[in-house]
Formats: sequence, structure tokens, C-alpha cells
Amino acid sequence: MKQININDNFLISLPFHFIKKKINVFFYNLIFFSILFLIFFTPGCSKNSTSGENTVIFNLQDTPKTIDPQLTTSTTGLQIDSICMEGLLRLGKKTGEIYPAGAKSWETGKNGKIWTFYLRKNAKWSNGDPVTANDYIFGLKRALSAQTGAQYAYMLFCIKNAEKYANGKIKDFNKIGIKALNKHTLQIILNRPVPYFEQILTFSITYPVNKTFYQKKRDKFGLNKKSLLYNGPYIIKKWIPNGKIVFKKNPHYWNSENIKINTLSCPMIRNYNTAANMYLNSELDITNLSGDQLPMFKNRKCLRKIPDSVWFLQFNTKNKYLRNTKIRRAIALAVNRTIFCKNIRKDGSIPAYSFVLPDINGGTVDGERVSFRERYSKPLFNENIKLARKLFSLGLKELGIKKLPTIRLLTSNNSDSRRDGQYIQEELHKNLGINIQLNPNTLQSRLQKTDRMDYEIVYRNWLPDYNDPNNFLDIWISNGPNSHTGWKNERYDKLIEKAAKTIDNNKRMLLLHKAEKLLMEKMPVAPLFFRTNNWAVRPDIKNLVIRGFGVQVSFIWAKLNN
Amino acid sequence: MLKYILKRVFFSLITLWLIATITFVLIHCLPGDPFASEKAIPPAIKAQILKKYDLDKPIHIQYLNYLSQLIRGDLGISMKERGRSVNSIIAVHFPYSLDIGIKAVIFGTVFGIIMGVISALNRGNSWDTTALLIAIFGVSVPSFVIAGILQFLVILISNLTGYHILPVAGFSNFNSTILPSIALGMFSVAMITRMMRASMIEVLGQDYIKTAKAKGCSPSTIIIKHGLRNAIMPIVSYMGPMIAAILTGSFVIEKIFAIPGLGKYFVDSIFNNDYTVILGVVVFYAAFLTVMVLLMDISYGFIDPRVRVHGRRKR
Repeated sequence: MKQININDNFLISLPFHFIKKKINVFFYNLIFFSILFLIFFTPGCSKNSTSGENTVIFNLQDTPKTIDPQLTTSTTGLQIDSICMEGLLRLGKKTGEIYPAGAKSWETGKNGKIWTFYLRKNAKWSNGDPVTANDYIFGLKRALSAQTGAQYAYMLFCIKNAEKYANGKIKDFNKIGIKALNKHTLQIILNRPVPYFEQILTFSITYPVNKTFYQKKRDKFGLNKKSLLYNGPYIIKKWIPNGKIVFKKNPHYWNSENIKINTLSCPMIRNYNTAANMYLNSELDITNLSGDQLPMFKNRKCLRKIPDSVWFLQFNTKNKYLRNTKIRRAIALAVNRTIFCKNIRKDGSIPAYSFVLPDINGGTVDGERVSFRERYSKPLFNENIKLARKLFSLGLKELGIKKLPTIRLLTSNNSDSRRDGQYIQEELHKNLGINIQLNPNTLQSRLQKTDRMDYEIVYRNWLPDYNDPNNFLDIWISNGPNSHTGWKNERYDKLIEKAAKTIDNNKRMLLLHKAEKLLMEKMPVAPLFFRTNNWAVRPDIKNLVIRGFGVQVSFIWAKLNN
Repeated sequence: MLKYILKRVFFSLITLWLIATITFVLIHCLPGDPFASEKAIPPAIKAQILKKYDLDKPIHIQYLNYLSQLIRGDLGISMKERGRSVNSIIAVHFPYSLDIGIKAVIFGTVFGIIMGVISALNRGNSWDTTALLIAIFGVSVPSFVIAGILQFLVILISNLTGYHILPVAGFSNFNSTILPSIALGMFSVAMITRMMRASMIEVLGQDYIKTAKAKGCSPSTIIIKHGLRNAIMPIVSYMGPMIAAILTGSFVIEKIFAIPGLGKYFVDSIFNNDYTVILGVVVFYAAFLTVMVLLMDISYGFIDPRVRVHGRRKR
């Protein structure tokens, strides 16, 4: 037999030799195919014209479920309504500030129950009709009538007899505390003094509706650009559902000479990565980002961080084990929030040791506006694993058991919530030896389970509707419609009730703070962090106001610095 | 032929009815409530909403109401996007998916066939290897990764050269449809290349090719007339479902490129428990798929003379 002599060198060099030769040919072929691809798409490769002058491209993120001012509840819907419509008042530049909008001035009568609004005589609808007190009344009537099905109608229940009207107990709308004194004066009478009533009046549910126009459209009202009448700074020029809305300046707006940006082009880009890519390719001017995109923006001076919601663990206090306050406190103290925000979420979220969000209005101290958190900045509890373990073993003793059985943690089924759930699971297992079973659900299913109290712990958030600490704290009163914890505490209820009746803002804030302290002692909810919304804003847009809640972005004062 | 088509249409209708019924049962087994929200709704208002959508009635009445609506071609009103009928959702959003989809299908088939033929004719040499590598890339890399890579390349080029070549996302003009079409069509390119290569190799080994060569046909005639026409059969049967799947919209691609297509509704409606939209888009997709498959079956007869449904005597 002939032996084939193969030396080692040959063996090693053979594949390289082979590959080298192949690679050259391979590249030629690849280039050939690429050119074919290119030819196929050549007709498209002309220069792309970007936006025209004085245009801002703002990412709306999602398609609005509706832009009917009385029906909308989503952030997107509120945002759109505030761009093209206007209520009596408008949120100001700083937290808690209120600016006149449809009303040029207003006053409160004695004991804060009677409010009188003097409307602007030059306010007009986009068809040229004047905006009158009756339009505001028609809007409010629509909001309160059950047929409309407005989810936020409860915000208006502080108006005299409004709740009874909404529940059908009163049929006559004239009995409700809303009256037109004349064409341009509106009077609203409340059940009780409501210090944050001005905040409510900035909300889209109170926006006026032109009655004649509405009766022409009926069921079609607010469904497309032609079935809505505008009284705000912009009108909708183009609307592709789930695609894009283009706003043009409204020439009939009373303050139109001070609106500096002519066109707002608002695509709805739901994918954060795409939005970040578009921003980097100058196809977007304003967008918000999630933690994953932040490294791409590290060296750019365009980020704005705004806290927008509180995320917390909510306990089912009807549960055999979780009804024990010590167990709940132990769980709350055992999760390391700093590592959670810094290493897990990475989006600039702030660890929470209290329930009310940092930016929430806290009234004035010595004539200066402060937020509720600036007023009471001391943390209401601290993480402490030793104490947590001690509380936990005490709690187990009280319950008369040795070990806690496996507990379900209900979360949403998006990747962020699942990741957060895993962290909480690990922390509780490591620090307290509790076995947590994650139970991710779709949003609708999670809400239904929470509503039926079919849960043990749920990981959820709260976005405020109006800028007042009360909106965070009155959730947890006994049998509160949004509570679903089963937690009852008479002292807490009394504090909230007393605060609602107090007119003096300093005293009211103190009462609310006492309630918050009590809430953090009993821990039916354990706050984890205040989520930060990261906004990328093109640096040459000046005076753009971004808030954490309600109407998020305000273009009224914005201008382009060329 | 007509009898065959009528028979097929009849069976398609039964299929659609079955699909609608099964989907109807399944969505009512879904956990969750379409009107649950983070903030509690006053009971009077909730009752009003339920009444509006017939959800206060017993389930068999709801089913009968739904079927009678469906027969009239009315798919109902969305429960989440107020006042929008499912018909109008499909009418508005389907054209966007169709636009991208047609481009992706053309891109996929043209390239798939060209590359498949090239690699079959150059079996074993570098052309074959290149085409197969592209095919493997297309099959194994998911479309959203391709989409990400394409977006990244566009940004890289425009940042390096300062020349804005293509939009990253959006749907304003022809340019903005290029990237999504490539990302969407890449998988079809790969599949068709592989199928085309295999079937072309098989066909080229057949006796009638030899006969054609012996007759003195030119190579182009052999490839196009004798080879391609016979080899394309498996592609045609693959294309029915492929076209239906691509044209009705891809959730991922449409989300990444921010295209207001129908894809979003397939997924979001389920998360939102938007019953009418789930049913509507499922029935629409099923109808589209059956029509496409039917069309492909009929087209066999024109492409391949061996396939004749009726009027062919058995020997």
C-alpha cells in the first residue's frame, strides 16, 4: 500500500489556503448579490427631504384609544387634547402652577365652595364661533351623564349633586352646581372645599363642547379630524390612525401670536429602540426612552429625567398570612431598592421610601412653591435586613407557623415587569427565605384578578390624575374603589376625611403627611421606586415643559432657537 | 373546473365558520375583562358600557348576534378604540401591510428564484456557496434582528457621511418602505432559494432535459422553458400561505419600523381582550389564507400541464 505522507504543516495550512481562496471568490459573489439587491431598490434612493421649517417632530408613542375630551383616559389622548383643545385652566410651567386658559380670571367665594370663572371674550372655536359658558356646561353635562360612559367622571363628583346625577338619582341637570351667570361667566358650586379643584379643571374631561356641532356629529364625535371642533393652540391637519397626527397652528386661537411652533408632526412609535434610532438619525425631535437605550445617549446633552409614577408591592390583607402587619413590613424592608434601580432597571428610577411622588405639589412655604416631598423629605422607612428578619420571625410566631408557604407575586407579562418580579423573588428568598412564585398576566387579566382579590402580592404602579398628594393617599381608604387590598384603618380614613375638609393648605398637607406615615407603618402597600421617564429633546427646542403626569408635554411656550 | 371551484368555496365557508366559532369560544375563555382599568369605573357607567357591547347578554345570544353580524359582513365595533368598527380598522390598516407585503413578496420571490437557479446551475462552486450562505443567514437570523442591523447600518452611514440616505422608520414615501420590505422578505428569499435550488437540481437531472439538450435547444431555453417551469411547482404551493402571512402584516416588523399596519391588531387585541377585534382579524386572516390557497391551487393548472383537475382521462 502506498502511504500518503502528510506533514503537519500541510495539514494546518490546508484549510487556511482553502479558505483564503474561497473567501476572495466569496466576496466577489457577495458583492454581485449586493449590487443586485441595490439595483432592485435604486428607484427609492433619492435624497430624502426631512421636515420643513419651524416643525417639531414629537413621538406620541401610542395610538389614542379616543380623543373625545370627555372619554379619554390615556396619556396619549390627554396629550392630544391639550394640544388642540383647552379648558378653563391650564397647567403652568412649574409643578402646582395654574395658568389661565379659557378663563382669563377666576375667584373663590367664602369657604372655598363657590368658584366663579370669567371667560375670555376673544376665545373662539376653530369654525369661528365664540366659546361661551354654555359650551363648558354642555361639556360637563356630557361628562357626567351615564350614557357617555366617561371613566373619569368621578373627578367631578366634588361638584354639588354631580355624583347623584351620574348615578341617575337626579334627572334634572339644573340641580347640579354648575351655572352660567351670563354668556361669559361660569359659576361652579362644590359639595365641599376642594383645594385641588383648579388642577381638576385642567383635565380634558372639563373641556367645553360646542353643542350645535356635537348634535350634528353625535356618535361620530371625536372619531376623526373633521368630527372635532378645536379651541386650543393647534388643529389636527392630518390623522392616520396608529400612524401619525399632524397639528397646524390654529389661527382662531386667542393667543395664536405667541405660539411659536407652526407645525407639530407626531408619529406614534411604540418601540423604544426604533424611537432612539430615529432620534439619532434626526427623524424625531422629542421622544421618551427606556433604560435600555440610555447608554446610546450617554454623551449627548439632550436627556431630561422626570419621575412619573410610583411602583409598589400591594398586599392582599385578607390573606391568612399577609394580614399580619409584621410580615408585610418585613417584606417591604427586605428588598434592596438602590441595587434594584441602579443595576436592574438602569433607567434612573429613584428608590422610594414613601408613597407620594417627588414632584407632587405641596403648596407654598414662605411664599415659595414646594413639592410635597420637599416639605416632608424624611424617608418614612428604611431597608434593614436585620430588622426585616426579626419582624418576620415575630410575625411567624404571631401567626403560629414555622414557615411561610409559597406566595404568588402577580405581575404584568411584559419583559420589564417579569425581570423586576425575578429580582423581588430573589431578594425575598435570599433575605427572608420566602418562596415566591411569579405569576405574570396580561394587563387586563392582572386587573381583573386584582379586582376580584384573587392574588397575594401584586406588583403595580400608580400614575396620578391630578397634582395633589391626596390623589396618592385617598386610594387606600377603607373600601376605596381603587384599593383592592382589603385593608381597613379607621384612623387613616379619618385623617383623609379631615384633610378633605381643611381649607388651610399647610394644615391639610400635615394631615396628609400623617396619613402617609400611617400608611407606611401598616404597609398595605410597599413602595419600591419612583419610575423616571427619560426624555430625549433636541437641544435647540427651548422652553419646552415636560411633566411627569397629566399632560406630559406642553408646547405653549416652546420655541426653536436657530 | 367551475364545479371544483364551487366545491372548494363551499368547504372554505365551512372552515371559516368553524374558525369563527372556535375563536369565539376561546376568547371568552381568556382571563381578563376588556373594560378593566387601573382606575375603578363607577358601576352605572360600567353597566352602560357592557350594554353597549352586548356583553350583558348570555353567551349564546352573543354568539348568535355575532354570527348574524358576520353573515352581513359586519365585524362589530372595537371595544378598546372607541367608535372604530373592525371593518374600518381593517380597511385603514390593511393597505399599509399590503404595501410593504407586496414589496416583500416580490423581493422574496424574485431573489429567491434568481439565487436558487444560480446556485443550482453552479452546484458545488463558490456561487452555490454564497447563495446558500445568504439563504442560511435568512432562515436562521430572525427578521427583527435583520431589521435592527439594517437600522443600525443606516444610522452609521448617515452619521459617517452626513448624508441622510434612508429613513430609519415611518411610512412617508417609497424610501421608508425599503428597509421593512427587505427585513420582511429576507426569510422568503432564503426559503425560496433553498427550495428552488433543490427542485432545480432534481429537474436538471431528468431525462427530458437531456432530450432537450439532444434536440439542440439553447441553454436559456432549457433553463427557462424546461427547467424553471417544472421546478417552480413547489414554490407555488409554498407561496399561498407565504403571501397570506406576509400581506396581512407582521407584528414585529411593523412595530420596529413604526408602520401603521394590521399586524399590531393581531397581538394587541389579545392582550387587551378586545373581543371583536380578535374575532375580526382572525376571520379576515383565515378568509385571506383560504382565498390565497385556492388561487394557488387553481394556478397549478396553468403552470403545470400535468395537473388538470377535470376533463383528463385516465389511462
